[in-house]
Amino acid sequence: MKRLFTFGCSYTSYSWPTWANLISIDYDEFYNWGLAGLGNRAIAERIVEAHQRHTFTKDDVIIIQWSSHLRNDWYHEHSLPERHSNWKTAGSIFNYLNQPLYDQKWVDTFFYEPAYLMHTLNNIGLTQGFLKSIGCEWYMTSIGDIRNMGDDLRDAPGSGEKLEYNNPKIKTEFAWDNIANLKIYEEKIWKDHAAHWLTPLELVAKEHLDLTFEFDDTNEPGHKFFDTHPSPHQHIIWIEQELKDKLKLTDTTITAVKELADNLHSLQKRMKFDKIIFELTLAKRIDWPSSVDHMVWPTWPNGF
Amino acid sequence: MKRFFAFGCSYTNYAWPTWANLLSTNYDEFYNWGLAGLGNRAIAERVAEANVKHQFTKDDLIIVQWSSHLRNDWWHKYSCSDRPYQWKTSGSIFNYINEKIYDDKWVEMFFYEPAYFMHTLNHISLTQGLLKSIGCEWYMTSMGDIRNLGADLRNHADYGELGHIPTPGDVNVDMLAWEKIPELAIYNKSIWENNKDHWLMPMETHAQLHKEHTYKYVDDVRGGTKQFTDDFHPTPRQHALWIESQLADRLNLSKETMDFAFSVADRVDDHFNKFKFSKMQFTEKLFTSDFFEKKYEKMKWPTWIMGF
Repeated sequence: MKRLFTFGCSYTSYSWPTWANLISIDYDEFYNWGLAGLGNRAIAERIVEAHQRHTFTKDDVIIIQWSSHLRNDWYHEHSLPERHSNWKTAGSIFNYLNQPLYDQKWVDTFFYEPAYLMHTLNNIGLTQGFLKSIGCEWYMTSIGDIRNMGDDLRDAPGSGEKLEYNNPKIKTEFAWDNIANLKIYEEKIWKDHAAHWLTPLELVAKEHLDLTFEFDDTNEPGHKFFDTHPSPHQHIIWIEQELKDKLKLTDTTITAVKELADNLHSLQKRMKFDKIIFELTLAKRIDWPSSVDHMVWPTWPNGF
Repeated sequence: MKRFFAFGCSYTNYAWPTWANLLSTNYDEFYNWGLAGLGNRAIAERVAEANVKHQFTKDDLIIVQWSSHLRNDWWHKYSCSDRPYQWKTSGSIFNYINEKIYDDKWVEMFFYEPAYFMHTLNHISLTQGLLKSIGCEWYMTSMGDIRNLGADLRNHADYGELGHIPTPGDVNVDMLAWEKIPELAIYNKSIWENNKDHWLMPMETHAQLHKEHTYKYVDDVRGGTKQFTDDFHPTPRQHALWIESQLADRLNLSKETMDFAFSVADRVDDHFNKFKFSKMQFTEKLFTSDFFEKKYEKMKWPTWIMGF
């Protein structure tokens, strides 16, 4: 029996099926531990939590999608009840949602960008060791290349995922040019594990911009916005490029998820006037091809 | 060539030689990554950092001493410049040093004790995974038993190491955490039961068996009081006794190594007995180059602060 565990943020668990849901139809059991808004410490911690609950074995496939170093993860059962998950992170410290939370005093005291990148690197290093100790099949990806510190992400107004080290001209391994003392992580995290790293999702999505979902902005009539989360077809292109061979996904699986993606993109075109209506309609799984009947989506958030 | 790496808080790197320094004589290379005041997330992160810097191998000995779940670790190059390290943690969120940093608003928003305990468990497990993947010889210990949520520590109100969950009647409840936060009991098997051979008796638990060796002095470093107060950090003798009880067999320590550890304890105790009226004078002298005579030179102490 083959089990698939996926971890990440909204690039893994979102309003429409992501790469995780799409490849899940090839597995007997699927657990999507992705949670929108999470930072990299929470992602690492949730891998450990999942192990307590499911006892990973060498037969499992575990795929982790890292997010951004600019997120401050914290868990609380009572504060900010309007945030549905107990992990209260909700994206970048600097996004519009978190502006009221992190005032200047907080930022001056607790936030130092090179340290936040170091925390991300340490969490990745710890997680790689943890997965190696299990002996399972594992892969890692990310939104943009973590070493570019958000510089390679498309601008999403208000998302706050680009910061001080933002550079209009994207350079590879931007982080090491700016925070040279962290370059020591390069070999251990990336070079020693080259076979485990997959191309960042956003980098593939950017090569297929025409497939990005665009919606009318209901808050500002006459305006439109792009949702930079990869669309189903962008996810499938990434799956074919990065995972099809590694996971030996069958042509039947790829054909099935493409058929689903065609339907979803067609639905989105008809409902681009309102993203929320599109999402609500989508959740009803109307006109889904029977070949993906067993796809688990939407999923309940896993974990504490 | 055998290398020894120690990680932890002030129970590992302190104003006098700790278990880590005493043990260092047995190894060709010694790296004390202990840093006073650290919480468990920082300790785990520093294990990862050290692995990147030193490239751990299966021939290394790595011992990790966990601290308390009540610490909020953060690293900053500029803020709180009065704190000497860039890991700014400085002990419990609720100690006297941190009172000004963490106001009620911060605590209500960001602090939830069961979550802080969960973070500790997750970081212990991540670290165990990393160490297993290296294949090195590794052990773990802690101040009190982490599962007792601070209730088994000799309480010093200023240190704020007793959380909000334990009540006075909980002092002698073993594995209190699973009673108070039962949903986290799922961690017990993979962290403790599956790694029994790697866990050493908590240092504070052991020190309490030898209370008579605890240092009590006038803490003029903090100023004000002329009263004698206990310093609950294990003394060199308590450290030596802990090594004898917990590590001598596991590490095949020689009689010479143990004799040396106790001779350091003798030396520091003698000095303490002369200077107990002033912590400042007592500890400052320990750091001077002439305090430990030539026969102690194989002990690596004091050590530079390691890491970022």
